[in-house]
Amino acid sequence: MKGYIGEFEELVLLTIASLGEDAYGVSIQENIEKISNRSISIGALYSTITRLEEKGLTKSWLGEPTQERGGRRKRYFEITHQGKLSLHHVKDLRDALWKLSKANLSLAK
Amino acid sequence: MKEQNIKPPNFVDQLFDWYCGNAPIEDLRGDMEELFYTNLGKMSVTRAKLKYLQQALSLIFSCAIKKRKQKSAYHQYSKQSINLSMIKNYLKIAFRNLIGHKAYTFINVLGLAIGMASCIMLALYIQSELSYDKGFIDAESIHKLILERKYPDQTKIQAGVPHSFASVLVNDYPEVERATTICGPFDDMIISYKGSDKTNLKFLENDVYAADSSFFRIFSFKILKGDRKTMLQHPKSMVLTESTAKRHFGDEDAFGKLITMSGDVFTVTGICEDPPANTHFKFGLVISIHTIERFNLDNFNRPDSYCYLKLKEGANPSALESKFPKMVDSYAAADFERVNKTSWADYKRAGNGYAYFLRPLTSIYLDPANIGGMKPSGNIILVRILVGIAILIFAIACINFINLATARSNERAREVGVRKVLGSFKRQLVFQFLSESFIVSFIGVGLAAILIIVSLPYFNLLTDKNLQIAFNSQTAFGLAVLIIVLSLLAGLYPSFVLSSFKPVNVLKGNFTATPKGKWIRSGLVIFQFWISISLVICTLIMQQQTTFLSQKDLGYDREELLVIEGDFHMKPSFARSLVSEINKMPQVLSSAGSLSMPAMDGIYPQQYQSEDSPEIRSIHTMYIGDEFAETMGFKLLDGNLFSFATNDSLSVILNESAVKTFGLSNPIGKKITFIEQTYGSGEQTTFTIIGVIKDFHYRTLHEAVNPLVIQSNEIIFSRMSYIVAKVKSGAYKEAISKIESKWKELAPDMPFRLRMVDGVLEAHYQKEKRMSKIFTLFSSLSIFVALIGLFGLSAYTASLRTKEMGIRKVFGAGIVDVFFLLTSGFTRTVLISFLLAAPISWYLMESWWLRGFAFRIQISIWTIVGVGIAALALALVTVTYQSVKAAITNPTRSLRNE
Repeated sequence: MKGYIGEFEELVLLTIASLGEDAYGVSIQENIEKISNRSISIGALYSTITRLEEKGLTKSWLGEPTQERGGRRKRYFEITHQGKLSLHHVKDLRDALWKLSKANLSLAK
Repeated sequence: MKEQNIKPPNFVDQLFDWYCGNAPIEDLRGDMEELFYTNLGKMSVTRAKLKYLQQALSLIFSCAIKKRKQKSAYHQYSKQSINLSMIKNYLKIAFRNLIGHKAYTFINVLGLAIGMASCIMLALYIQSELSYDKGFIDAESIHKLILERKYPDQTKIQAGVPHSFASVLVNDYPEVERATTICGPFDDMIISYKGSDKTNLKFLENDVYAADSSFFRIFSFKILKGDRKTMLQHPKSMVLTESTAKRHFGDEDAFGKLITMSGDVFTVTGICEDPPANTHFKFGLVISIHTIERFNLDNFNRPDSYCYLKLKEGANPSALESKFPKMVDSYAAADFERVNKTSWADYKRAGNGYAYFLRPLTSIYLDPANIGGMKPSGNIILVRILVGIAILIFAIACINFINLATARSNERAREVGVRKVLGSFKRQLVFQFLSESFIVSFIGVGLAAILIIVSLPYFNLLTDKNLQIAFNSQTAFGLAVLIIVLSLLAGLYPSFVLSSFKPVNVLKGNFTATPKGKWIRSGLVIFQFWISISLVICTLIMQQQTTFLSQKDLGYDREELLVIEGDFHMKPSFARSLVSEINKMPQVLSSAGSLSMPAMDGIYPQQYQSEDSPEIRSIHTMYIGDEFAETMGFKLLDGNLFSFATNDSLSVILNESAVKTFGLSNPIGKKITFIEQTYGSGEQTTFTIIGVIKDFHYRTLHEAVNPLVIQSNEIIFSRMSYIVAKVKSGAYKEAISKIESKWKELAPDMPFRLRMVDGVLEAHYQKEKRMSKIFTLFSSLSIFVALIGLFGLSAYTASLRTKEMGIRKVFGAGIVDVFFLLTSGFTRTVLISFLLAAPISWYLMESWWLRGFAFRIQISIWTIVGVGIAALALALVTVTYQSVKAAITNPTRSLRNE
């Protein structure tokens, strides 16, 4: 398992996973904005997706043309097995660290 | 999505599409649009649009698009890599298209070929005019010394200067590297030498010059034999040009031969190349200037030779020029005062003076003042006009292509539509059409090259030049550039028009050529005819003026008039006996001798003073023999002419203008005083006026008739250098042979030269004649090219309207109606061009060309109208073929497919 995914990459990957069949540019952006309550530009999003695709963590395909969007097709995204593995890897790493530092991380004072 | 009619800003889309090129961005555009409409629900339209722009920019700067572009570049349908197979395909399709429409291709190629041939020929001519004297080594640093002679009433630019300044310039001014004096031409020099069979051969040699040894060191003429530095150093040395040497000695080596000329024996010390045609030099024989005694004496005042100097590198000619006034004062003043016995300061105060300046060698030929002196000069205005004409003909030829291509748009639209549907990019279509125009230009220019090779000899005859088209890499490169420029100029507009059709419109079948296209086409046709009609009108006016010049009454009778050219040194006794012998011939009406000949030579300004006024006037003066005035047919108004019975050495005859200038009311018997100035003696002679004659043209018609004083040649020992003979009509040939045999009998040693006065006069208007011929040629070519285009255009217009005409005929229109319908458009176009052309060409000729003549025609309205009618008739004839064809077509043919 080479490579290492950044925070925003992780966010995008998880969002794609959460959207399932309906993960395309606008829906991903809206979801990230809703959940994380921050504004992201479509350029930044596509930069990240392109990077993820190059790393082999996501794949994409063009959907069928519909009446919406002037007949332009949507590009749908999906997490590859590799993507799932790296998400799990990140999570495992975090869980292990959480376990070790639970006492110190307690919010109660 | 509630506000469907609000759209994302168009320019952002365009920017985005342009930036992305052919990268697949459908999904991105979709996302952007979706976001935009979502945003519309949340915020104002302006903000949504701003946001849209922001999104687009964020994408443009993201690496996502960069990656997509990189990927698409390797795609097999990418338009970024124009690969060889695609180009091959373009050319193949273009060829098929051109072969499939043979008539169209032929018209296009023919128009382009003729247009380009004209342009290239003009370019050759212009290039040759501009190349004068540029071939010398260091031509840029060589200058000619020019004299501006100032008189109280006028200034005159003179090519000749006093010879002593050359040595002064070299000695006094360090920036002058070298200076040379060359003097001439000495014409009619009799040279003699021993032939191969030891007999003495005598020949007449023209274009003899005398120069010092610096001449061949400044001017890099090729030296075939002899030492460049020393061959003119010693008196009685002589340099022959290659052709002169060949003429006299054939294959024998001329070097070292002895040649006798005017009593001196010269040694041939060098042989140089003939001065190239594109220099302002013309000599056949150069002798050392030190042979002539007067060139060894100082002379700072009397212009007698040409002076050239070569400046050192980096020297500034105008800085040198500014030192000339001082030079004149310090050298010329003493000389002047010694000769003229008047004070230099007074002379200058009276408004006289000598101002010297420099002219670069390379500008001499085209200088309007003919400061070269050895050859007729070029004409910078003519060169500029020819550049203009070349550009205009080029434009006319390009317009043909543009018009024919866009006129065919209906035909090509369907093809464009199908290509686009099948995935052609616009850029590919542009290339497709450009390759068609490239092929046409290629063939056109190739044909033009052939046309030029065939017609160049005739063009050379017309222009009296030796133009050549060299087969070298430079020419090939020039032609290649021409082909590319031509195919771009002619093809760019049509390719963009044709490739921009929208496939939806075209394939639905309701495509019609836009009225805009039609307007542009008519505009271009108007331009073409405007130019060619203007050229034709100008040409016609030029022709009329040249005819006018050659037929104008000169004030003397030039018909059946022969002139024998002797020279000043002809013995008076010989000349007199020849005149009386000629007078005895039955073919001759009368004969007389003279030192001056109208339209030829021997007429100079001299200074005179009349009885009643102290003013000294400079007036042209002729020296004629007894009965010369009668033979020439001068019209006597008052008093008498010179006659054999009287001694006329102190009598003068004035022309009317001279009488007016002197302000004499009753001139006969009045006295005028002649003040010698040519040799600077200032000697005064008083003459009595014995007659007044009507003004006649003693120079060319470029000049107005000025005052003229006629003295008798008896004051110069009755010398004659011209003998004129008035011949009975029809007896030309007999008279000439009789005179010649008489000459041979009396003077076997002297060359016999006889000309007809008519021919002499014609020669003066050569320049105008040549110009009018060049104009005739190119104006006819330009109108021809325009007509070719019109023919093609009318063919397409007619073909587009076949069905319309068919329907009209079915509904009862006659052949004549159809004909008029088809031709009226063209008639209007040509009429508009004529209306534009008429005033412009009138203005041009009036204000520019005719102004150069003292005697000129008035431009007749009918000439201009005539050209208009002729142009209209030509245009009608051109379109008639197609129109008649359309008009007589049976409607069952044109409509049977409906």
